[in-house]
Amino acid sequence: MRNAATVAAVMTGGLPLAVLAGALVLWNHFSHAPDGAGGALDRVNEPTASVREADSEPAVDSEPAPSATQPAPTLSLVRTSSDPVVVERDTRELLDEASLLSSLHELAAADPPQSLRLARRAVNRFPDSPHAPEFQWNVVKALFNMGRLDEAKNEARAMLGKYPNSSFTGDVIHHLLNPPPNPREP
Amino acid sequence: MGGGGTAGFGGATGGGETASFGGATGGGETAGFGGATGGGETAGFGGGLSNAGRSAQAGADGGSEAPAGGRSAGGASSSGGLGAGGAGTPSSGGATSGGAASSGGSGGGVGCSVAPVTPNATQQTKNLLCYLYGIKGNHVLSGQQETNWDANPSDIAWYASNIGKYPAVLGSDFLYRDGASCSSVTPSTTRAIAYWNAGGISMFRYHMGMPGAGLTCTADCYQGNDCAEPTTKPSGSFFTNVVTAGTPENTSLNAKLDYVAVQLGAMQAANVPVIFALYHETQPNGWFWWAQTSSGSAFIDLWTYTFDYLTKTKGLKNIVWLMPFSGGPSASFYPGKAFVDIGGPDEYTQPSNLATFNAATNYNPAAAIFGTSMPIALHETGTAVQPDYMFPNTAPWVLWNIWATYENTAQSGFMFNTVDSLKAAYASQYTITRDEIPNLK
Repeated sequence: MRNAATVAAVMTGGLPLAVLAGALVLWNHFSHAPDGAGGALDRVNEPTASVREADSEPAVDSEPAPSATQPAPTLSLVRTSSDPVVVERDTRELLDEASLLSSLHELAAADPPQSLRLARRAVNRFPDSPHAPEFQWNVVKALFNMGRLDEAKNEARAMLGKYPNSSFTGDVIHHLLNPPPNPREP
Repeated sequence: MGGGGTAGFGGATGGGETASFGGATGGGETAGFGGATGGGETAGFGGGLSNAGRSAQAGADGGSEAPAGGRSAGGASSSGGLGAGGAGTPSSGGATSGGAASSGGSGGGVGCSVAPVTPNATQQTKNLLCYLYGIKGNHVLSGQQETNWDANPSDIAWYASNIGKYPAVLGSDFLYRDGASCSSVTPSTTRAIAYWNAGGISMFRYHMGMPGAGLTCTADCYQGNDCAEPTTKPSGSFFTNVVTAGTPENTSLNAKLDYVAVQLGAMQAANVPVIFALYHETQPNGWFWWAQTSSGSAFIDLWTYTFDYLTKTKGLKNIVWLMPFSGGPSASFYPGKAFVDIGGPDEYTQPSNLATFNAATNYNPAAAIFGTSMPIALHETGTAVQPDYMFPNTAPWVLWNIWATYENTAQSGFMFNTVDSLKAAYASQYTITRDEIPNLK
């Protein structure tokens, strides 16, 4: 594995972290542009290498279970001439997370198996991310879209334990765990 | 401005019967959104709803006690009513300075410049929409979805017993026919008419089953095959077929809309306007078949087809069209102002603090789509928002509607509301309950 600091240095190109962080925020924002927004910013939505790998992966049932051990995110130690020492997540990790989220938004309901693969990868790799509830929601939703209702409900119950105050959890509770009944016929 | 039957949106002055949205001053009992001064017999949509209105119930300055709840003795029914036109500027509150006096005010002219998107809307529909615009930014309608799947829903009665007030808005669902045929009026519709006659406002949604060959309203269900949350998702050319005449999907959609038309038609015959939140909880990759698409244009085609079918083909004139997003609204799914009267998102977060919950995180994304002038409705929520933490600008919802059973029953072990939190929401000076809605008839 390449030295993380080297990667960070190359990725940042010597730019201060604040500038890079701001650029990542903008990149993440524009990657969520509405349908048909088009424009030059679409180039940043091209999948990264890690996302392209999903296209050639085996079928969804061989996807590692959520509890499988994954390598811990690489941390990089970045110091500028004047800034105090800070510990930041590897910038490539941040790009991967953003690209996964963007890809899930773009897929929406179009390809549930692909969404499931991407969402589970995101859950495994970024369990503490602010986007983790949304990644987990995508797992639930993909299973639901494939008709795997019991599995979707199990994942929804897991959300209740992990993210009780997330709007995504409230959504799956409402739709899956406490849905209205079907009409009765007197 | 002027005496006798005066109606204005932005403000009205004058003696006699004066109706105003934005504020009213004048002789007689005067009530307005912005404040009330004077005595005599003046009533308006704002009557009893402004701070001064509620004070008037206790006997405020300037006159005898205003009619409880500000029910207008002549406001909406003044000649000219509240149809479109007039230059009245909606008032956002304040006393007699609330908005400019309507040029349509004299002689019972009209002052509401907002027209429903429904062509040739009934007067009650116009009144309702004007009312929603009138309270936007200064008051919020309380609401509760009833448990339609029960033969005798007890939600509203629970409020009377435990909160001491009735919700302003009764939410309902066309899914539950209680055995009625597709050509019969359902008990839900009958209850909605009764609620209107008791002074409330009706809002309906419809967990319409996914259209398919030979399917009518009798096949409607919530979750399962051919249901609103279908096990077989729309695929291929479904969204094209469903709006194309002659296809099995379109024939099925029309049949289901015919059933809706029977219900709305019955309400129209009873002069009941309906806030219609069709195709609710829409978002890309939504739960229901109508949102099982990444294509905003496909959804918009479905919406506009339905709009035309109900208003033109079926001739319905009593619909206030609410565009009901989920908590993740998407501008690409917005049909546009020509087909939407009001709009909003839903919200099912389990709040950490019921006492201060205002769903503010959902308000701005919705307002960014609908614009700053359109009333934004929290058309479905698990938790009642607290109006004292909404106004003036944080999250000025025009209504909230608690989902059925969430008002008093734990959901997966979590209480989304308590009696105390609901009492606090209902006690707010900004909250409108059923008894405080002016005469919109």
